[in-house]
Amino acid sequence: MMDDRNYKNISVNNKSIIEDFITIELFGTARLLTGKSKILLTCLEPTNISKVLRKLSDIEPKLVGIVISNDRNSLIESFVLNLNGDRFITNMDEVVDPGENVLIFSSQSGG
Amino acid sequence: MFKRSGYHGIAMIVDLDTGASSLETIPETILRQYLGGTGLGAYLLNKYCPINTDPLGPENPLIFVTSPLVGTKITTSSKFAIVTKSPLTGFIGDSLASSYLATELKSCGFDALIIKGSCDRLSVLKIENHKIKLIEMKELTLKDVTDTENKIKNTFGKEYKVACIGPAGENIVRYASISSDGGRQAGRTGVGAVMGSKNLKAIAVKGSQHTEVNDPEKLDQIRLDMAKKSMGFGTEKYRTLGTISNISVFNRLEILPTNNFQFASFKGADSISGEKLHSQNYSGNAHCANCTIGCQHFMSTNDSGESTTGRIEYESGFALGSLLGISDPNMLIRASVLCDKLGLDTISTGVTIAWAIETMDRGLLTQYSADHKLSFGDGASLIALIKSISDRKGLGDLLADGTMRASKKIGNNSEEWAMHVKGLEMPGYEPRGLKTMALALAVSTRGACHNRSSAYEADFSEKVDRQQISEDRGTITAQSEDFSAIIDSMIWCKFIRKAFNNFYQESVEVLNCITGWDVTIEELIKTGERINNSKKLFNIREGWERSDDKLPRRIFQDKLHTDSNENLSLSEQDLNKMIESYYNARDWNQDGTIPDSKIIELDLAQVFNSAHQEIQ
Repeated sequence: MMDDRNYKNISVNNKSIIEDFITIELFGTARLLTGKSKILLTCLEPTNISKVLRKLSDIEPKLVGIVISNDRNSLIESFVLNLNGDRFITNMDEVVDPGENVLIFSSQSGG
Repeated sequence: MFKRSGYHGIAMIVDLDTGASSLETIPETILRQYLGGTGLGAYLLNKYCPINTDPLGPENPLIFVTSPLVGTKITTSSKFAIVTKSPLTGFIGDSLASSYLATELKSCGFDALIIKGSCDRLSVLKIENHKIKLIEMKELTLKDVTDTENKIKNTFGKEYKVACIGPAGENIVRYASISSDGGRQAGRTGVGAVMGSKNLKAIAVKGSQHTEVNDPEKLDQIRLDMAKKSMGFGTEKYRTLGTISNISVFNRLEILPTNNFQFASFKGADSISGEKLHSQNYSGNAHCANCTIGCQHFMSTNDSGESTTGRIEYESGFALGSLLGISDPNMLIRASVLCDKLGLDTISTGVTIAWAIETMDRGLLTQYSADHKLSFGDGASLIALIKSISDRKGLGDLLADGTMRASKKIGNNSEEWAMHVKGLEMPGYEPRGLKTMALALAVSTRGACHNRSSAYEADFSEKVDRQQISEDRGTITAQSEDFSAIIDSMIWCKFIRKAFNNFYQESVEVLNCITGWDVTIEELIKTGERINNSKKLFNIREGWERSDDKLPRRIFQDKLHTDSNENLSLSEQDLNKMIESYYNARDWNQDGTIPDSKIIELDLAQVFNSAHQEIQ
């Protein structure tokens, strides 16, 4: 697991190392709880949201019950998932490929 | 006189010219059809505002409206609406605020306060139940809203609740706000300028009249249920960080307007993000009147300058932060607090200043450059410029009229980067990245408004692809507007909207519990539609044309510079397609006017006939 370092320019054998990770980006409460804005999960093959959240729960157990549901398979209703800044995801079986970004922030979108 | 549980069935009309007041009955049919808040306010504005009246003239009524929920102590229920003809847009202007003024106004024994005319000299309108007195108070001249409220309470008694304007309202800055409860702002559309045009510094209110509730036992249960829900999943963001937490999210999604909407992400966003402010500047939170959520998060400066503490919301963070290229949180806090004290809408202030900076960058406004060195990212001149806007001095005098008028005056194509719709400055949602919101901004009767619909919610969901247009955007926007109309008329706080399991079902239960009516979900949905059509009718009679539903030229001309998607844009053609779908969803004519059939269907004849030929 890697955390908030400037990882963008790291490469190994001319291949960007980021392609072997799923980047979880944390906002709001999740960021305050962990003290981190990004967490990298090692991922060499496609996985799904549910497994990503389970892995995240292992790394940051303080998120469970507050951001991640107690069964660790989904998010608590107050939060939403967004993939790569593009699509909002509610299906926990949604496939996530290495190199993709999973964003977790509040479901209350107003301001 | 009519009396219905939850209401007094009365409007108090005050004529500032003569100092006289009168009471007029509001029929039960009208109360049921418009509820209260912005809905009842729209009806009353259509009735009491003469056609084509000058928004800053004495005939323009300033209308304070409560609602059936006010006084029930249901969480978030202590809110009031102010409705008038906007001096920014020339169309309907309305603004909401949470404050104990709402409960005190209702305790005076009326559902609406309609203020007409103007005072000869700066005065305070003192109201105790149905008794009014106009008192000249020149010692309040140019006092900020905090000093004003304190002075009035020291003079009349601490039990009085006060709504007042600051120097900006007295100087008739077109986006001046009205403040109550020590800084709760009715911010948008220039309601403070209307009050200032009447030489009315404040209203001070004390009441002792009770409003009946049809089923008090059920109301007790509703209060408990709503209080519990208000602390649950649907309000987490507001309770923990507040709306300022939008800064980091919007920046990441590349929808954070930056440098006058030239960009949609901001390199300095982290410095003014909710997360950073909470870790470095946080000084506590507070609850507004009768509210269990506690969304007010106060930030304090931590540099060597004068210590300042204030509540920072997202819209202030965007308008006085990223939009101006300012990443200094201390500057942001000072600018936001100053706007509140002077009685200025932070959104309009920031957007107008952003226009000024870009205009000066482009070699225009040179006549002011000796006094104001403006550039994006430079906060040094920001405080002085905000003060000059409030004082209407120099460049501030030009900017005090808002981006639409300022850019018309300066010309040289500066209207292309004047970021307003219908004269109301744009809020912090980048339309090129939020296509549903783009439509809502273009068609809103209030101008560029993020509050009279919650259309952005669709863009923040799986429902739509926020970066592409689709045929269903019209229906989504119309339904979102009607939903918001009910929230703003009952009046609920928008921050509680996700705490409901079924908003319409639960709202019907609350309404019927208070009033004894037998309102159905279908009737309530229709009420939302009626309210929005009423607002549109007012605008049409005041000269609205199809060409008013649009977005600033920059949105169509400039592709958005983003890190992830170079081609993010919105064409005028695509916007017009969505507008067409919106008119269809509303069963309106192709030109956006309302057919007779809709007026009859929604029982709008009374509203329509206040301006046009008779509808039978």
